[in-house]
Parts: sequence; C-alpha cells; structure tokens
Amino acid sequence: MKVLIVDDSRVMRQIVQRTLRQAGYTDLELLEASNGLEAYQLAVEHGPDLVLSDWNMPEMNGIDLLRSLRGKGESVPFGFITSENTQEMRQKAVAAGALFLVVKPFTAESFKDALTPVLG
Amino acid sequence: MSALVLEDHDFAAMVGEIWSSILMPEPVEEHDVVPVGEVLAGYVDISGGWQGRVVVETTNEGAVAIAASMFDLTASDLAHADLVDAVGELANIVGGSVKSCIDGHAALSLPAVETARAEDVQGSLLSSVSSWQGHPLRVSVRAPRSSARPENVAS
Repeated sequence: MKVLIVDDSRVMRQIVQRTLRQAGYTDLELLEASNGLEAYQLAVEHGPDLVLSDWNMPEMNGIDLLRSLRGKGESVPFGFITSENTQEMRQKAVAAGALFLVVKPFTAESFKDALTPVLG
Repeated sequence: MSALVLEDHDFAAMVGEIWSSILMPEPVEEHDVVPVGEVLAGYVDISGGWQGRVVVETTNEGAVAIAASMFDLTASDLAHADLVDAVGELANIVGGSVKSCIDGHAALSLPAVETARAEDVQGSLLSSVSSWQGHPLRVSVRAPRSSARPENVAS
C-alpha cells in the first residue's frame, strides 16, 4: 500500500515514518511532500491509498489540499496529523472529507486506532 | 474577547507530556538550568482574539542533541537546517497545544527559528524550564508587548 506523508518539517516526516513502523505498518511504500501543492501533484500522479497530512504548511495548507483533491474528484482516504486540536478544526476536517485528525505528539497506538479502518 | 485559559501548573504538565512523548529519556523540570548566552529560539505566533508568542529555547548543543534524537541520527550527520527544523517543530507542537487552550478563534503561524540571546522571561505569561541530557530546554508564552522578537545574532 502507498501512503503519502505531507509535512513541511522533515523531522516530522521522519517521525511519522518511524511511528508507522512501530504501529506495525512495515511494508508500506512511502511518498513524501513538504507542502500541499507538492502533495497534490504527487497524489494525482501516484494515486496513494492514504494521505497523512499536516494542517499548517506553506504554499498550500492541509485543508486546502484536501478540498483541492475532492474538487478534482480524488476520493483518496485522507487524515490529518497536526499540532492543533480545536473543535473548529475537527469540524472543518470532517466537513471537507477527512477520516481522522491525529494530534501531535502522537503514539503508535494513536496511529493504529486511526489507521486500522483504512490500512487494516 | 478571547482569553488564554491555562494556569502555570497546567502549562508545566502540558509541556512535560509533550517532551516525554518526543524525547527519551523524559526531560526533567528543573528551574536552575536556565539557558544563558546564545540560544536557538523557535517560536510560533498566535493571533486572533488572543495574541501571543510561544518560544522554545535551547543551546546550540541542546539543539544538536534534540535533533539527533528526533531524526534518529548521530550529531555528525546533522546540518544546521536539521537543528532549525527540530527546534521549530517543537515550538509548533507546543504552540498547537497552547492554542487549544484559547477560548475563541485563534490562528497559529508557521514556526520560525533564530539564533538569539536568551531572553529574560520575567515578563512572560507562562514559563517552564527542563533539563534534557544536561541541556536546558525552556518554553515560554509571551504577550505581544513583553515579547520583542529575539535579538537576531545570526550573520
């Protein structure tokens, strides 16, 4: 399965990869993007099975990425991994079609809970 | 008008929880280990009904150790950009948690990192100092008027 990790922080992309492995997802094909614009292009080109995206990023933020993908008819499963956790953001995320919002700092357990319905 | 609903002890507990999730072994809250001189300061600004800045400071050696741990690399494999990335991400994570304690609409800026002189945090709204692997790690929340931008000493 192919997972696209989107975060403007390289260290956070590394930590997400490490946490995926700790959660038991050891044979994923991982793609990386450092902003929403890059991620949009990768998602359209490679058709990932899941997008894990930060919210607050330069160029294009995570919610605009999700809205752009849905606007293009891309129904790829999409979840946020973000340092922000407000009711307002959760509502926006769900309204735009996100499956979950995992808050940083996260654990392998919180990844499992969020990802099991998508990746098994 | 929004307000930051966060007491000193809750802030310290929040910061402790974040550090223990990211850094192993867990940093120890220690009031005597204050960063002095030149530090790497990462910050995010919160704007909206309540405005302020969340600043994470550590020494350059502290930043190297933190980045090595977060990247799971040895210090010699790190570039300065990696230290900036790691310290900025810590500020981003703490800033996101502080933002969630504002009772009203607020927005979080992207993180920025500067080499700066450690500031006097007497005027800070909230402050927590920890020691990690012998390195000081300080987080403070500053109101706009008491939080002049850190003096940039980078060339």
